[in-house]
Amino acid sequence: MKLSARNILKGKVKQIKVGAVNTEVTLKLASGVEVVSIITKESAENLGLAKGKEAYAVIKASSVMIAVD
Amino acid sequence: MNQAVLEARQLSMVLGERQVLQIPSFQVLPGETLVIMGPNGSGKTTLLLCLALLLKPTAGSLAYHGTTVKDAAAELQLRRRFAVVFQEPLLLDTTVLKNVTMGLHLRGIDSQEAKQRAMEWLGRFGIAALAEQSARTLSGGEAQRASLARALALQPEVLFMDEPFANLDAPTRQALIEDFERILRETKVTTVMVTHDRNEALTLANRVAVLIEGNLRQIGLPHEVFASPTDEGVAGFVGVENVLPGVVSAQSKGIATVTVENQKIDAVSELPAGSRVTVCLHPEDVTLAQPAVEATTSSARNHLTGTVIKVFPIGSQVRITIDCGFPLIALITRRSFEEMGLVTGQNIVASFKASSIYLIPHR
Amino acid sequence: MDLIVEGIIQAFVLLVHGDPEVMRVAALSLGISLAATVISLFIGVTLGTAIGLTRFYGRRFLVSLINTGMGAPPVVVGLIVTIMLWRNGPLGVLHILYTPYAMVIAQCVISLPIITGFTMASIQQVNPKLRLQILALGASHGQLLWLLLRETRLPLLSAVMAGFGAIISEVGASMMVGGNITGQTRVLTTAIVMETGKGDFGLAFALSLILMALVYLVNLVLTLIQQRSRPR
Repeated sequence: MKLSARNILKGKVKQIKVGAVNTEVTLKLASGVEVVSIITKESAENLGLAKGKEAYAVIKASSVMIAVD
Repeated sequence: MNQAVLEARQLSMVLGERQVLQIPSFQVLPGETLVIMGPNGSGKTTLLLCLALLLKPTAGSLAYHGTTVKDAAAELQLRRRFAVVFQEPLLLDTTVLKNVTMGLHLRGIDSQEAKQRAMEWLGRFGIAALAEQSARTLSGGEAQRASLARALALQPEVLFMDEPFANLDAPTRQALIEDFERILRETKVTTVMVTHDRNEALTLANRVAVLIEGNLRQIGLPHEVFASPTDEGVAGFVGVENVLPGVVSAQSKGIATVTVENQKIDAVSELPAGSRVTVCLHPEDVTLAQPAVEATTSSARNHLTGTVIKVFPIGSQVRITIDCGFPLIALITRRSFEEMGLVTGQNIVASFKASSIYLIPHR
Repeated sequence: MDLIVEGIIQAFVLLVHGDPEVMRVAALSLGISLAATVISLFIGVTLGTAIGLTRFYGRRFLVSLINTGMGAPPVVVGLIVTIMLWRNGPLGVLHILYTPYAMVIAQCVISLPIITGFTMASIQQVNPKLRLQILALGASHGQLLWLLLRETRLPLLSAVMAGFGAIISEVGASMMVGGNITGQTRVLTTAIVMETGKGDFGLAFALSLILMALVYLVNLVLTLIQQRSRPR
């Protein structure tokens, strides 16, 4: 364990929407579940994100909200 | 140091058996925006009303420019130099314009000038078009704008405000705070404001006073109070925050690079280079990693290397203080803390997203 | 049915011809009740404001007395005022029993609790923080009271209507302290009682119509003032 974030989810980039400052990246996890992330445009470029490429969604436990039906 | 506009000495308020307020000394300095914060029932409104001469303390005295206020006549004269805005707009049942001119009439300003000043201030708060309407027909936001215009039209020497934005919905509130901040900057009116909202305090205050259980626990510059609370009570109320003074050193396509001490922090902000800012970051938004992890493999734009200097467990989480040229506080789960085997003195990389940073520009 | 039609016709005849006796009775009714309303308005608003804005020992008891007074039976008031003004009574030296002055006093006693109670209730209804706001605008204590009353002007006008309505239509006390003396203390209500007793239903009905018209007119004027004062 090298990172303090508790949730590190592997997936494939499904969609990239580039905005003025931010880029919206949709990851499709192995289970089929999709996770959306908003990162800066520059970061998306630095990471070399492209459709179909493997990436990880990193989420701190304190950022996860829980809801029930 | 400037002489205080107002100074309360040995102020004490007892209601029944309860000591609501006990403050040895409290000064309001000329031109400052002093924000009084505290939890509910801490006596902050009581203190404000005592300073504004609207409530008689059980004991203690008030001095105006060093002269003690002695009798009712002096109090009336002084009240006519102040203005107060309450949480509710408290408009009288007449037109908006007459509400604004009312105080001016009471202070002996002639009708012509009163009307002129009232219209000017209604205009500055963007509600000149509503002047002839009944005050009862205004929305919450409009009514509070009218209340603020009424107070500022008086050109008070000291403006007192008791949670003036608390009753408004979020967008209305944000718009009004922005307008008010601009007006404060233009008029430089000495202001004493009560609030329990940290963002309001950080946006508007030159000095922050924290009141708990009727006692003045801490008073100082906003980042002093927020970053280094003097005791647990204050820390518990203001929350543990990363509040750091810095200067925007570069601006590129909506990303501001802020220099804090010798470190650079990227933030999503349109502020131009050269802006003096306060950098705010919730400890929950900081992720820690062993230095071995390559910084570029994450989308987070900020990676600061530092040394763990303090570890403090809070329930299921652990608060970690890292020295990266300045103290940075991170909050991680106890399990992550154990799995990473963090100890003080260890080198660590703290990461956070540029969008997690909240920049407050300085006036 | 005939009686009603006859009454209406007779009322018109009396009014059109301006029967001097009827006019005098109507004018006295109006004059006594207006005088009593004005007097109790001044005393009642002062008392109501004072009680509404202050806290003192025995306040609740006083408020309960006022509330009871709002429903005090006029005959009881009449009896008490009669005893007070009786030749050997505490105020007997005034020699005003069976004069319009005695009637004004009795009607004041009836309307005073009503106006005091209404004033008290409406001034207490004003947000207590508004007092602080008015002081903060720079008002002296006198100006504060004036502005607070201005703020309650609508319920205050209702108080006036209720007070006036109660006494112009009141008969028991007027009969007892006034005595229904022709040309001196005869008012509309006492005249109606007398004419009905005599079996002159037509005249009694005519007087009733005049009474109702008067009450309506006064209330109309007050309502117009009340509604006009609200800005659009």
